[in-house]
Parts: sequence; structure tokens; C-alpha cells
Amino acid sequence: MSELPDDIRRALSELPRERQPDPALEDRVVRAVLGRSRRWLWVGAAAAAAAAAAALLVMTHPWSPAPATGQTYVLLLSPGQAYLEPAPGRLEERRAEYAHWADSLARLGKLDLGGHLEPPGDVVDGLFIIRAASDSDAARIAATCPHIKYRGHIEVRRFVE
Amino acid sequence: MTGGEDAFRTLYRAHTPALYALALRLTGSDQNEAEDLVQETWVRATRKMSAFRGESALRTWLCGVLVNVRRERVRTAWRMVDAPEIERASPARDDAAFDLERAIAALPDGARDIFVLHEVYGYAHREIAEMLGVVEGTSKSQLARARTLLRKALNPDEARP
Repeated sequence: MSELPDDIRRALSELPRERQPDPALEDRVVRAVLGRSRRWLWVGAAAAAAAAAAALLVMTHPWSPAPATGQTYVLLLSPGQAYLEPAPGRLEERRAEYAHWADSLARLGKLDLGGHLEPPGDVVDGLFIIRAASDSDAARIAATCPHIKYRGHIEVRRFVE
Repeated sequence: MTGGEDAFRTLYRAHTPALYALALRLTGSDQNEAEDLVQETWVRATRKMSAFRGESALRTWLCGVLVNVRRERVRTAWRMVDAPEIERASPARDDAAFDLERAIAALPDGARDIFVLHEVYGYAHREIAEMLGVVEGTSKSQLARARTLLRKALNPDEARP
């Protein structure tokens, strides 16, 4: 088996085995593990201006957004030209996949709200309100959404209250 | 603070520095992603605690959960993201510029996981195989591959015929 030279072995042995994360992580983890239940809301609303809808939903929803660090972002989902529509009769399955993704974000304390708009629109037919550390972090989270897998389009916008 | 929360925080503080250090190495020092991994690891671990059979140390089991969360992300959603260019280790090998962490970060995902677990954390192939759900032969072959790549990254002369 390929072996490593002594100097590399020595350097490996000196690498730190422990690192302290941001202290705020502890509270986030405690909330995720002990404090938060899964939250998912299907939004039935006219396909109005998505940002306005987002603001309204934030104000009227009974639970408060998690006091997470970072900023609020709105992910606006639209089909775009290349979107792969679900096969006939498979819409609920597709929505369940999105819901599962949203659940995983909620468990991480990163989802404030998510849902789809009825009836589906050409411009925006779903939105998620998330917490992210930065623009790039928000874009990275958006890239994990199943919508990307189905070649949909997601616009990521910082939400200013 | 409830008794359950108190107990969880004690557990969290005992093991998180090691989990975070491992997460940083597996993500190429991406702090946001490393924190996400640690959080998801605790969420999964607390849900799957009944699966912990006490045959390995709790930390080993937690590390296994973390590595599997990471691999799951790499296999599925994260592959949708345009991977940032990973800076390769400097070809000029002098002591001041010697950056072992960066060279490890540049290893391919599968090989890096096994290299870090074996060479940095000292896990045996049997333990790694159990953590990752692979056979020991896979762990050994990926380790040999990682060692070869690492040597070449740190000693570019070796790569030349």
C-alpha cells in the first residue's frame, strides 16, 4: 500500500482534532433538536406579487420566525423555459418532494415559510422564506431545492423588512 | 433550562468541537457548511439514538453520522451546485507555504473522507467500513488513492516520469 513520507505523517499528527464553532451554533442546534416542530404550510393565495405575499404571510402566520442569525431571503420559484413538469397524476408526489426539502431546511432552523401559489402562474408559482448567512449562502441553499433538479428557475432576493 | 436540554447541552459541548473539526476538513474549511453538517448530525443522531448499539464509542458513531450526512449531500443536492474551483496545493514545497489542510481539501470527496478518518482521526478500516457502509477493501483502496494524490499534490516532482 502506498505510504506517506515521514514529514507528511508528522504534519498530519499535528493537525488539530478539535475546533470550536461559532458559539451561536449551540442554541441553533438545541432549537433544532429540542425546540422546533416541523412546520410546513401550503399557501393558497392568488399569484400576486410574490414579495408582497411574502410580507403578508410573515405578518399573519401564527408562529414567529426563528431568532436565527443571518438575513431573510425570499426564494421565488418559477418554471422557466426548461422546467420538467411532473407526469400526469404525479403533482402531489412532486409537491411532497418539495415539502420534504423544506422540512429539512426547517430542521436546520433555516426555513421561515414555504409553499406554492394557487393557481400556478407563469412567473412565480412557489416561494420560500429562508434564513441565510449571506447572499452566497442563500444561493447555495436555493441550489439544493428540487426545483433546480427539475430545471426550474429560482430567484433569490434579500428581504428587507 | 429543562433537565433534557441541560443533558443535551452537556453532550453537545463534549463532542461538537471534534465534529466541527471533522466537518471543516470534509468541506474544505467551509464554515457555514461545516456548521450545517454539525447541526444536521445532532438532529439525526438524536432521532436515531436507538440505533446506537454501544459497540463503538459515541464519538465514533457521531462521526459516522456526520460523514454520512455529508456524503448524502454530495451525492444528491449538492452536485447541482456549481462547484467552486478548489485551489490546489502550492506546487512550491517550502515549509512556510506547506499547507496540508488545503491539500486534503483538494482530494476527491470519497477518498478524502476515508483519508481524514484514517490518517487524521486514526480510525481502523473496520470502523470506517462500518461508518460508511462499505467493505474494508473499499476503505483500503480509497486510502491508497488518497495517499498517492496527496503525495503528488505536495511533491509535484513525484508526478513527473
